[in-house]
Amino acid sequence: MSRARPHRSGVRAAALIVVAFVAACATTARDGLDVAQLPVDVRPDYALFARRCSKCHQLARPLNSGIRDDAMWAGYVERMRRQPGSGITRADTVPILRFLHYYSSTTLAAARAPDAGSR
Amino acid sequence: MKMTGRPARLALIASALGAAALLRAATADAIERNFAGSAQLDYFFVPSETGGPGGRTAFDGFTSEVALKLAADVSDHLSANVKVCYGCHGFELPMAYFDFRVADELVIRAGRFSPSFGAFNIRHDPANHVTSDKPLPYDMGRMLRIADWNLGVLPSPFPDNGVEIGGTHWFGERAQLDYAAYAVSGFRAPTGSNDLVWGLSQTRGGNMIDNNGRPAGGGRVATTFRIGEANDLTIGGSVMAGTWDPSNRFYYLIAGGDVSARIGRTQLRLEYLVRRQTFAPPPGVPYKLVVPPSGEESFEKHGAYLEIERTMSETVTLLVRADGLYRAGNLPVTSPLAPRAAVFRYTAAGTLALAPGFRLKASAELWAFTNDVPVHQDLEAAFHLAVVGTF
Repeated sequence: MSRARPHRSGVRAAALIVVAFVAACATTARDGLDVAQLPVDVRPDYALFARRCSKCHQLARPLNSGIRDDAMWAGYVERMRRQPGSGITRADTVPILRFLHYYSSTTLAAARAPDAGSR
Repeated sequence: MKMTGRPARLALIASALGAAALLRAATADAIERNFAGSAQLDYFFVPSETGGPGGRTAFDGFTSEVALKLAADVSDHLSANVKVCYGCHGFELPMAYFDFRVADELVIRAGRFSPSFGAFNIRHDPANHVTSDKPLPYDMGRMLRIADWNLGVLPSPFPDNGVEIGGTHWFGERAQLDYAAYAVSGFRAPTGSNDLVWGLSQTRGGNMIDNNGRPAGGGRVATTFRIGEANDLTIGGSVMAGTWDPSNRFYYLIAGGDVSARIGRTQLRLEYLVRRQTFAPPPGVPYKLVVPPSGEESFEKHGAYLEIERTMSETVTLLVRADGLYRAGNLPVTSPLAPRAAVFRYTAAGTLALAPGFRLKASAELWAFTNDVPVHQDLEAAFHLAVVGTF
């Protein structure tokens, strides 16, 4: 049984996808954080966090998780560390948790700022 | 009524204790539970899909995959996970299990879960891979000519009821060993089937009890080597075997090997699976090849993929992939497949961050189908455009 070969509509669909993708490239959104905006002493911790935690999922997953509590982060990172092939050692959890503490405290502070609701 | 003296003090103390108890309970809640989810809306465009006399050959059009997951750390040694998905076949419960952790090296999992097999399964959530669909060996319904092929080698995810013992151990800071061994209900099909009936393993299958009472078993071993700070290499092997029919007469055996490497911002993944399965052609049903006198037949279904994923920037990720399936074995004469049939697919894909946790996905696929001859006989194209979000 012979089925139809790719035809013009296929080419048009491919072109549409390319155009949509290129147009959407105007976005400046990013999955992680802008390293240049981080304090110098936090950057190595963020780099390790980004390297380890982007292996299996987007960085937005932990960053958007809404977790603000250090103990909850500790449990979260422990769960990830025990994932098969995570590549996260116990030693890695220290700088990762240090970064997450910084991230939580700064985003929490920003959320509590008086003009946070107007932004 | 205004309270004074001792009753007032008692009421104040009681209120303070109550508030403290509530606060403690709220804090405990915050510590112990994590709620997460993802959603993908995909539009699958297949120019050659006409829905003509042969019927639809692909589930083109809009599809959505939604997942909601709750993880709870009951104690230092006990955690629970529940995940509900909504997809092409309605609601599914792919996770509902307890993990009892004696140590990192010994974790006992019991309940409903996808047993450890292969490298892809941990990334099966659409938010965790670049393409809208899965590699062909793990295809769950987005392949062309889906009915002819009856999906991939092992459609992912593959939740089942059972128990798994597993763990992870680091050798220094450079090597991580993971292992798992499990017993689950196993895949099933009614007597007289010539392939597994995947729907019977899904929640929509209705009756979630085993059809033969004999568990299927399997396991996985994988080692991850950290090479420098930004590179790692994982090598793994998996196996799964069981009987699928009510009388425990016929078996399936699935084996796989995988290698994945992360070199800076580039990930390379290679995985191979094969399923060997025995069955008995029902009397009176004509088959393409002569059925042996024993009345027992077998087939093999091989699948593999090779993909390279590159994070181009914080915004853009690109991927190229080649994957395929090859089936060898007897079939009813009504099947469009030949006793030796293959499909190859070549994919170019990308994701674009529209907002943190929200991405646009696009991919273009060239499909090549072949029956009995080792050349591409029949070409088709397909396209995906999707958005995916996580929280």
